[in-house]
Amino acid sequence: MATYPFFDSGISSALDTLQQLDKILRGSTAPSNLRSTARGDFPPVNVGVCADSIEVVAFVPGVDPEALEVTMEKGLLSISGERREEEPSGQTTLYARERARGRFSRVVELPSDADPENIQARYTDGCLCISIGKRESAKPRLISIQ
Amino acid sequence: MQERNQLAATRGSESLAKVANDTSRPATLPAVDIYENATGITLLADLPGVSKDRLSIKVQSNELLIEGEAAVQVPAEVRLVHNELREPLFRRSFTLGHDLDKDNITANLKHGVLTLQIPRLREAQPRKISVNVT
Repeated sequence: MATYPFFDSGISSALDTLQQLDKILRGSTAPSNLRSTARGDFPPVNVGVCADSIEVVAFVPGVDPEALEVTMEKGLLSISGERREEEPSGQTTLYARERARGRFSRVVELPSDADPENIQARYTDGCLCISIGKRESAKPRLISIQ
Repeated sequence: MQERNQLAATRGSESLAKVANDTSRPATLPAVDIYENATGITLLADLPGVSKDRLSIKVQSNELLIEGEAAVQVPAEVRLVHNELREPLFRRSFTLGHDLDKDNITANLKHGVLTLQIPRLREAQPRKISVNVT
């Protein structure tokens, strides 16, 4: 077992800057990714790859696992569900309401070597971890020299 | 290019450290819901990936500090290709009013959501004062 990393000092830092810029510009007429619009930022998703699988983590706290739906179609992984919040009863004063509520949906484009037949998902501590196997043909192999 | 980015990142975290001044690590601000009724304040905070043993709730003088670190177990070494949650450390602090009972705060953590119940001091709870006519 290993711990999921949260930062990567490599090439992605340059991409991050672009993504942040994209986020700032989204309010304007600048083109953005069709599958990740400005409103679709719940839940946050991290994607990592290892030798034989692709590990997707969606940070969806406070959701009944039964209310979560994970589907895979044509290389697109969809995560959707609903977060039902119990409204406080009685006379209350509301000071903050920052937590996302209602229906949500995120779509992740997976690399072409993802195997749709080999997906596992588990929900722990409010994190939905989805492990998608890589096709046998895409796994790294040691080639013996004759 | 890469070096410049790294330099920018270091400088960024330094200035953040100055703002936070007690802790040097940059953190994510968790989303909260706060509401109050007659008995006290209820605070809900989203802390995905934080388990009970990685969560700390501290009350010092009149400040409430919530800190928790997310950890996700994966079967093997993973290389990140896309990350929206960059800082696994969640941190947020609040000042507590004098009418709140700091010694009787209860905390509950379920599916990555922390629920804090902060009761009002008994004398601060609303009471109806009857007026005597003499």
